[in-house]
Amino acid sequence: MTNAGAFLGSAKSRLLPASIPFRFFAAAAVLHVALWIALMFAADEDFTEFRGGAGPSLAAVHLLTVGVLVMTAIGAAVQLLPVATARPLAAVWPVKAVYWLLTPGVIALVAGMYAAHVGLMIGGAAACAAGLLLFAGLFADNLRRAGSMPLVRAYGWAALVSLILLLALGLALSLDDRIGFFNDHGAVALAHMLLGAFGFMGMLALGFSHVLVPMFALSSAPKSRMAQAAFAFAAATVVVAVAGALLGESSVLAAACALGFVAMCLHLRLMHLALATGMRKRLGLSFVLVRVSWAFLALTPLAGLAAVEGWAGPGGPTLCGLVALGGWLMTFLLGILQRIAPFLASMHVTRSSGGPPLLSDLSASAPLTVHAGCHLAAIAGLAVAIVLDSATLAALASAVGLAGALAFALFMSGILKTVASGKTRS
Amino acid sequence: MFANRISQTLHDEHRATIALMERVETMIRRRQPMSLGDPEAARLLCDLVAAIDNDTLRHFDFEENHLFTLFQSVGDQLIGDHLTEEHAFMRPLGEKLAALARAARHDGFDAARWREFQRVGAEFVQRMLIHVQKEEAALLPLIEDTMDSETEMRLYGVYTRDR
Repeated sequence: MTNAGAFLGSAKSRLLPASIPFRFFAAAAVLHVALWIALMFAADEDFTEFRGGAGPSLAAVHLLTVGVLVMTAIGAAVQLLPVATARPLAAVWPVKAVYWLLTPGVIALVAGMYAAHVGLMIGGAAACAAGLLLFAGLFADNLRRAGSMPLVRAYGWAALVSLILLLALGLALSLDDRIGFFNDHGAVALAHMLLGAFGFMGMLALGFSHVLVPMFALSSAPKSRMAQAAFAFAAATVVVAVAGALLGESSVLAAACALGFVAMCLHLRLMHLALATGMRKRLGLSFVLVRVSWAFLALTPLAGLAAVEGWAGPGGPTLCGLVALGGWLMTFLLGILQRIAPFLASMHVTRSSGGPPLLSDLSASAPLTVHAGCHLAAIAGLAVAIVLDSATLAALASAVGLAGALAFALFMSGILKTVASGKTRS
Repeated sequence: MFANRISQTLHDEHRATIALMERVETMIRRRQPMSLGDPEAARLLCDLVAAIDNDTLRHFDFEENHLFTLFQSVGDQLIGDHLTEEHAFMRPLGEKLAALARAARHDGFDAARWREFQRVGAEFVQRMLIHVQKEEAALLPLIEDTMDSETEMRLYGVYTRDR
């Protein structure tokens, strides 16, 4: 059978049991709720001028990064990558092991950070690192065997290298809290954050955009030199930013912002072309979130430069983190997740009235509308709270974010119920 | 975009179909039945009937009778079976939607007919969007990769002759 002919067959044959991706999505939805609760507590402490150190703010950051972003990315990647590369995963059990290492790991890590309990932090970080290394092994094996999509593979490899470095630094940081071997803990923490936000999650988000956005818009995947240049600039941004953080050189960090600006312009141009040439013009609420996330991506290098140069005041670094992690990555992933979760579910259930299920049978639109409104209001509210250094406003914005997260959890629980029953209601 | 004229023709038809489905999608969201006095609504009903009667069913028949049988003969059966199954669900829906649109062009919509048009239209649109997505991702590249020029010329003649 030809590769293209194998696509539909492979989509079915490479379909993992529903419980595999959905356990990650369910965990992400629950930890998403926990994130906003942690932020409500962090608002009263140091959130608006957070610079690191154990406490509710650090716990909230890791609930967002490991709990929401990484959980969502793993759930999507283990299902989408084998279909995109037409290469099955080596085995399914390691994915389950990833989940059982990562979920208790992130809970212990976050609890340790919240309570400033070093033992819990080290144990949680070790479990997370073990789970993510296992995931990295599966991911690398699949990328190694893939023969097509060189650009997506390049982003995948860059994300993978970043993940390994991110884990090494994360584990070292948690040990440093007990042993104290780093001269500049803050510089290493910044490098860890940059590797996580832009190296691992950023590269995954940019790379999968080249598959998912054309797929939803029904357009061709970008194959031009511009796409290659966008990857080169994005990879260079991460390398230079991490070097700047470790060297403590603000001029190098500023250069990374400039590189990031070019990478962002190229990526957004490619995405604009994919949408403009796509057959599908009405892409729904999920793409409202995706477009908003791109607006935050456009702001990220500027926010980064403002933080490096001190133009944004004492809250500048926190604002930059909010724009990149909350505005860009979280908004993007939640937009994509609400699109792929019903689609994946549709491949595992039958329609009570006969035939393949309709996507509208699988998800209610009202919770997603509530989520989108609350999510965007909460991000905007947090940004204003940071600029004004207002703990009250930060707590209020977090409460709005919590309402949105609960609505999103309701949406996800509806899908999980349908998947568990194997049949739609209509 | 496609070197193969059959792939390109099917792709062009997909583009037109998606544009039409998006117009239907917009229209059926209205609570009130569409009025024939509304020129946009009248044009939509006309275009919908013409597209289903003249293009959609012909497109399905051509794929099933010429393309899927060709792929089956070279051992590529999965794709044809899967897409034929989807055609089987969409064909009666399309015929029903065309019949409802045809009737509405003469008699307009009452509340019950409008609800039925909305229900059938929503299902047809959703199934068509996913179906086109699969054909664009799998079928057209397969044609492009595997069909020789002689077969292309023969089948292109068959498809365009029936237009």
